[in-house]
Amino acid sequence: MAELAFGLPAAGAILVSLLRRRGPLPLLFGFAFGAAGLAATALVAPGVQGALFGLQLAMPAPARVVLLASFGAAALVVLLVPPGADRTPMLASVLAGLSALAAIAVVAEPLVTVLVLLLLAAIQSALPALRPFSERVRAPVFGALLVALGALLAEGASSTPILRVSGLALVLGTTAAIGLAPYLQQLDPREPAPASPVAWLAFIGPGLAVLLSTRLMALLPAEAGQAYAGVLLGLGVVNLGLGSFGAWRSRSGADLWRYSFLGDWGLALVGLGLLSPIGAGGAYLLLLTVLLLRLPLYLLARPALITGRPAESLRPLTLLVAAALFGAAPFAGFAARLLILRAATAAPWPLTVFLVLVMLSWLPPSLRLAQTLGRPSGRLAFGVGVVTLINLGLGLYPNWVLNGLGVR
Amino acid sequence: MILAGIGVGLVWLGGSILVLSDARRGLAVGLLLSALGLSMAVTAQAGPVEGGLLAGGGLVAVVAGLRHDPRRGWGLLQGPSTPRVILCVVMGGAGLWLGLGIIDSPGQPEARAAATTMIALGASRLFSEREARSGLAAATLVALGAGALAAMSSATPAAALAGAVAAVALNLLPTPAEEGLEGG
Repeated sequence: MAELAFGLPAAGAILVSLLRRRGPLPLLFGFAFGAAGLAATALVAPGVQGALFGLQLAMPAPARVVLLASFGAAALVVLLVPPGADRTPMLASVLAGLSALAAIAVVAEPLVTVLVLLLLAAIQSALPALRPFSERVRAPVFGALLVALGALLAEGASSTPILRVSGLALVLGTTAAIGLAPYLQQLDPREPAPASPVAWLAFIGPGLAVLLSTRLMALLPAEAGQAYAGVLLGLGVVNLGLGSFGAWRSRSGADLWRYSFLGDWGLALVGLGLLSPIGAGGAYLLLLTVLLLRLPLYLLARPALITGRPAESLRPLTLLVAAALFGAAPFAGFAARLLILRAATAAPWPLTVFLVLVMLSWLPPSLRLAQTLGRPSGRLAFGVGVVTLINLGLGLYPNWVLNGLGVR
Repeated sequence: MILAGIGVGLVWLGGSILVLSDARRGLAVGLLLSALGLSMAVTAQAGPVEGGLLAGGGLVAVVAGLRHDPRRGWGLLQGPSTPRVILCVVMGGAGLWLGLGIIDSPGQPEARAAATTMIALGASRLFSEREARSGLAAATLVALGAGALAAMSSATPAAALAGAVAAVALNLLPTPAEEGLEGG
């Protein structure tokens, strides 16, 4: 069943690409193969070992939950495309991304994961976009190479300094592939979403973070764990601080969105770096909100970001969206932040104080972010309502997700 | 042992030709020589199936690359070539050092060195390249090298097959005709 989780979306992506000029046929095939991939993922038993031509396959529980959420996010971004836009290229891209994510979640051999990452980076960089191929391919391929180096060092090394370098390479490689600071890229709302950095930051990134915290971390022995956690915490704090500072300083809506993704990622990295099940639960929940709230909202805001016309007044829907983006109760961001804070209390107190201050600093930028949606009406308002309701559901019943993640 | 050593040399020679080329024939010959060298090194130490898969993947990737690349000729040493010559020596040496001296597994040192040299040369070209076709050819070197390492690590030909498939897929990708100009 695990091989179907990546085989079906891959077949769907190829079919959609081949039939892209045949009217509604590619959409039908794409949705059918995507739904079949979703069903296959839902039926995979987490942690159960399998094999495909001798390659070990197993899907950890957090990877399964995040992959299911990625399927949900893919459905949202395809169904809620702005009026007049063509769904077919978006569908082909998300199916290719889902196939890669499923392969990354399932294949146990880290070097095969690197191959998948490399191929995905090349495919994404070959899409028509505003930035040149060389600029787009650099960070993810550099990330893939660092992950390969980290995995090779972890497999063969016996001395502690080399194991520490291995942990460093694994963390830096994953963050480079996602596109976090110090590998942050410009976000231009005019660039097609599948080719823009948001594809890595918000769609592929959560799957890579789970890969790091489950499979890649398992390569390291216990004595390298502290260095690994230290790098994760350090990068988390840097991204958190940069996100918060950048959001306050940013003038354009696109910059504000970019820093908002960065802020969430900083918190998620801190949650993973605390090396506790509670912190990891909070981090995974936050990654689900990136997938199911922040990504669809950014895509819904893109038309208004291109025209540069934010809403001047605050309407009830805008306030609701701002509350969800800020992580206010009862939305999912609140539960995630609470879990991370709870885990952080086990660390020295300045970290907790820093986290609280940074979380609170997001209130005004969240209002500005919600205003970048303009005045939602019609399909846009429906889309905003749907993603807000999904986030509310996650916030009201986080235990359901946390049980699935296996972190309770 | 001798076969694996010749393989490492071929990998370096092919990778260097690829680093120094800017047209399809040079890229194709570089990629082919590298793939054959890697295949020899892997065959000597992992088995003929793995080696055959990597050579086959490289060959099909070369054909696909030749069909998709519009730039005719060899394109060897065009423009200021000194930085690229230095890249060939430095990155080739770094790859060799990594495979022989830094990492202890997977597989035997010669095959590992062939794979790491290939990855180092491919990565150096990829990071210094602005043109998509040359970038994809360089990424193919990385894919074949990673596939070889994965095959030795997992002791299954499936990983070599994954590397070969990735190499072919990279060369089948269509690239934007004029970079930086398209939007939408």
